[in-house]
Amino acid sequence: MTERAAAATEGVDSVGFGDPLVEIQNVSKYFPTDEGLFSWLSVNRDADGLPVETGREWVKAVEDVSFTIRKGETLGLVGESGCGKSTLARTILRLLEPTEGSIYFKGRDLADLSGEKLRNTRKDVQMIFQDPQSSLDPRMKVGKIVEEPMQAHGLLDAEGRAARAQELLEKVGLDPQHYNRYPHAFSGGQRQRINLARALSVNPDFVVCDEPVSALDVSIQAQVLNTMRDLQEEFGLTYLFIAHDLSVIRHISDRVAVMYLGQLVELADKRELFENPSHPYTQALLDSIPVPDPRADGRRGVLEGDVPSPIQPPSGCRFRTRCPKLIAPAEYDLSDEAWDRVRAFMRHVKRRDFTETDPEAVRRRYFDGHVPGGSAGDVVSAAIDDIAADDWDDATERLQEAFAEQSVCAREEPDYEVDPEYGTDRHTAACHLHRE
Amino acid sequence: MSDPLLRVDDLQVQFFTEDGVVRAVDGISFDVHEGELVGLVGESGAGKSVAVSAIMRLVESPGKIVGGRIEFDGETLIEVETGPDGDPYRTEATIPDGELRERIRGREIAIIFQDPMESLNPVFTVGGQLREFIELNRDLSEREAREEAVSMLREVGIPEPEARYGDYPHQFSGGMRQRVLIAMALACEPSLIIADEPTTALDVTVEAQILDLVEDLQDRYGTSFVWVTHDMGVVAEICDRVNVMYLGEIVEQAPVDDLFYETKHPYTTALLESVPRPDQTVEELNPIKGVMPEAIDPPAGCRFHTRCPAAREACTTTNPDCREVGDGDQPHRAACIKHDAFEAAYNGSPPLDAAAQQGFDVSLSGGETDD
Amino acid sequence: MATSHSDSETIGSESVENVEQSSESVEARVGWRYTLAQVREDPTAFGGFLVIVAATVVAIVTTIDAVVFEFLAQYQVFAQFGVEKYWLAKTVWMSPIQESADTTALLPPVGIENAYGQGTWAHPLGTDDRGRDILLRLVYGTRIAIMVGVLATAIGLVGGMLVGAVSGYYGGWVDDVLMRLAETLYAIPFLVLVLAFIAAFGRSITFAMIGVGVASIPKFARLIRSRVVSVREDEYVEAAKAAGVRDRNIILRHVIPNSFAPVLVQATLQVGTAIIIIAGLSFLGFGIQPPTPSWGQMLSVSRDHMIADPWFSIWPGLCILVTVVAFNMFGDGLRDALDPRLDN
Repeated sequence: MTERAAAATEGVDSVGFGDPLVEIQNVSKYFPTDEGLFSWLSVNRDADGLPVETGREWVKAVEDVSFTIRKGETLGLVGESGCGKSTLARTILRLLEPTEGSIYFKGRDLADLSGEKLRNTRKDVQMIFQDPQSSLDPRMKVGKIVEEPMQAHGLLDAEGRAARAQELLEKVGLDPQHYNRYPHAFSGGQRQRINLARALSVNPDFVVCDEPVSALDVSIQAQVLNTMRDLQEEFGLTYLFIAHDLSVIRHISDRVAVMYLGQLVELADKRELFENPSHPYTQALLDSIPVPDPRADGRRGVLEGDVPSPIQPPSGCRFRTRCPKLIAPAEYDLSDEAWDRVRAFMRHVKRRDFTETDPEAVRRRYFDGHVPGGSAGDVVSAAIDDIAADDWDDATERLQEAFAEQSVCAREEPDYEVDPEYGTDRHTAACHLHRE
Repeated sequence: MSDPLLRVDDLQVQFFTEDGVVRAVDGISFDVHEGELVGLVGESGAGKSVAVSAIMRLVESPGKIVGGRIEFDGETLIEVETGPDGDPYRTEATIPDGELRERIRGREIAIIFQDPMESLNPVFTVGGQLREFIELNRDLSEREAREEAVSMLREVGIPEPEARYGDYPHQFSGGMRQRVLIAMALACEPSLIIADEPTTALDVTVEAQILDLVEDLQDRYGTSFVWVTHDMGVVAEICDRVNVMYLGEIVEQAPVDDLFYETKHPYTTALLESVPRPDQTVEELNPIKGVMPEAIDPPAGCRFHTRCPAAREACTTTNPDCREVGDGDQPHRAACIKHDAFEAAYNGSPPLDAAAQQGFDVSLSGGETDD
Repeated sequence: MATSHSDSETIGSESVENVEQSSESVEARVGWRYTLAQVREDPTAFGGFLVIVAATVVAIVTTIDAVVFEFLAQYQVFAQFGVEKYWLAKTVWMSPIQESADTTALLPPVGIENAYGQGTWAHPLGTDDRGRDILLRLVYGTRIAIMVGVLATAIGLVGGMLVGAVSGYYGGWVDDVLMRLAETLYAIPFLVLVLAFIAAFGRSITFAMIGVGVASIPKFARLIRSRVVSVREDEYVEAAKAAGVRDRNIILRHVIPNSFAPVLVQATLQVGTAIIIIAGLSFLGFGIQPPTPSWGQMLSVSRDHMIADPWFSIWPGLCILVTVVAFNMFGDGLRDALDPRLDN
């Protein structure tokens, strides 16, 4: 940490470098699917009696997430669209109200604060937004935009703020004489730098970056990332860096957290995560990325299907509906190969990927003629019969009930710690494969 | 080598705006052979989208194709020459609009765009749109077309195709919609598909599915592709040959392996070095200095020289064309005078100002500044 | 000199837009000066703007004359100079509220002859039923039209803005309640509402003006609210919240300026409507009381003399027409100047 950074943070509080700065504990965020006067009612024609039901449906955007961010580090948070990372970021900043859980910042629970006290903490916790176009007020001059947070917290006087704004513009790599220009006069990369300057104006400790380079051209990304890194060193910042691009995450993070459908599925030191991924989703994610090397061994589309709806997420481990390593229910005693076949069959039946319904043909295609033995085999045969009778729905249900829902993955929520192969940081993975 | 399926020869597209003439595509040439997947890669502003929309004469005013020739399967899609008065005009060889629309567009050549919501009508069912497409272009009855539509949906991996036939576009996820577009593109069994950044807006796992699907379909049907992207990873994964575009020109053209391992143009090199990688931790990124200049006012001489770390004085005066510079059995072209194929006195010429030499170094206060 | 370059904001598609944007000058695309420059380029809008400016100038001058000099006259300071209401008019011409002894009623304009006599240059547009000069009365009627039209609209605008901004920004039950109230008001026919207001508070031009203003609040409120609802989702609003800016400052500094454009356009159009309504009220006898000149009132009186002297009714009607059309054209031009360029 540079001298300046040390000076910037001295006397503020006693959180040392490397100590926990932000602690997220069991944070959940649910959204109602319906709002308004009659949202607690819904029509259900299949119900007995009155076709009206009470009770609301919730979009479970973030479910029971916990982790710690240490002072001075960059924690990368990665996940695909719909995983809840942006929602989590906004909940941490109290731009959204957490449905449950606590957010400790320097020991104080942000979830408890409100009104003026909450507003005051915003000085220490800032955010950088994704879209360089819409995150700056098009009708405000750039200099004023950078000054606004200072003004909101009563820092310095008008002259002092203007001077500091110009200083910051220069720090982030812009010409301070552009103080009086409007945002549209700048390119995307430059606008993100203005965002950086604005966030830094109040000397925050913690900056949440919500996909700050995703909307930028590849060659501009590199420039902005370098700048962010330099600023972190100079000012002693702590970053929560959210992105969907694993390459960027790999470049800038110290530790990495992976989210899927609202849950935290893996958290580890960067090298550990990339070299020793311990969750099937992380592995699939890493395998899917196209590598800029034509000689690389391309294992690609390992993940089938779509992300399930967050309104009725799968029970237990939310990833189980697409997991290539779903655990077989113990009672069937199937070989690995047999279990793979059963799973593939189940998936294809659900998607109705095939048209031939002749039992022989189906058996040949999915089981090489030999249906597995035991009760598992009974279920499979019954399902094949269902298909022959064109009862696809029954077949799907039968298979799901017997196999998918009996697996431990469907019945318990996983949360385990894995022994790291690289470094000594804790490595958590939410997968029952580690249950021994 | 047999005749290429598609040949683009010295294509020029310009936009006539209030502020001046924008030379969006300034003389590019490439071809696509049967069964090949050719990539067109470059950053925003390079002119890739304009180039591929010119292939089907879909360039909209104030843009105009002002030069060049595009041949497809022996027919001339467009040929523009400059008359004695300096005005460009379409020659007799160019096939007329009506024919282009009926025979070529959608049937022989299909396009897949980046945003499926733009191509799908939100008020009609997906199945209905697909079926209508098939009906019109393949002369089938409505019932036959419907069956074909369902089987196409199944083939591109839409689950429960019978049921989803009746769903509307907004009920599909982004990846599913893109699959529907692929189905629509394939439905008429075209020989060439132009894909304009179809996976850019998709999640990486979904993108992987789509890339797998495309490779699979290519194996099965032997369709040729022109694939526009900015992602070098996608290029490495699926392309057979690659064209790198910068500011309206093709600066390098090579088979994919040669492009990555025997890079011959400084821009390609710089691009590869500035991108973080998923398979290794890149400690220091080397961004390309500056931003791509505007196409309305390109730099004199070589268009990349303002950002090129290997630029010399000779680069400010000559604008090199894309010439054969490789030594392998496959053609490898690059537009850089440092190669022997160019007679320009690159070696004797002094390097441009020192700042360009350290072009890869971006210090805090030396970012993108206006000057 | 290099111009600034707009990188594409999205990775991927580069369309003509990107190309055109990048060659835009660095000059401000926001602010009054820019907007007016845009308007100046549009001939109809600029024409409307000129008419409005001219009418405003006339209105200001005549207001000074009518109000200020009356005030002075009260003090009889200038009694020896004969300062009284319409002093300016009187010294140059003749009184718009009192007929002179030597005028003939219902004279046609210059060069035309009717049953009552021959038009003369002394009364270029003719005289009304009491022999007063029509041109002079039209000039003084401008004051009422503009002042009332603008002020009534201003009341509606400010009131609507407060209601709409609060309603749109906070949402929830505040939004529900305010909007239901606004809609209730909106459901009552405009003129009926204004008449009810006048009946309740008194038959004067002030109350007519306030009534028109209040009755137009719902329209503005809904317009602003819908813009605010969209603007409040914009990231810069979220960014301001995250930075710790107080709510009221967010509304004042970010939300309202960015929601203002369509409202401004609606306001200019509303002035036209207000003028017509006030004229209508005067026509019905509820607005301006004679002898104060107003276009609507002149129209009303001219009803009885339409056959004998049609020119009497044509002139005030023409004035209303020209003014309202001018506001409309200016409003259209404003909309073009404000919308597509800035909201991009």
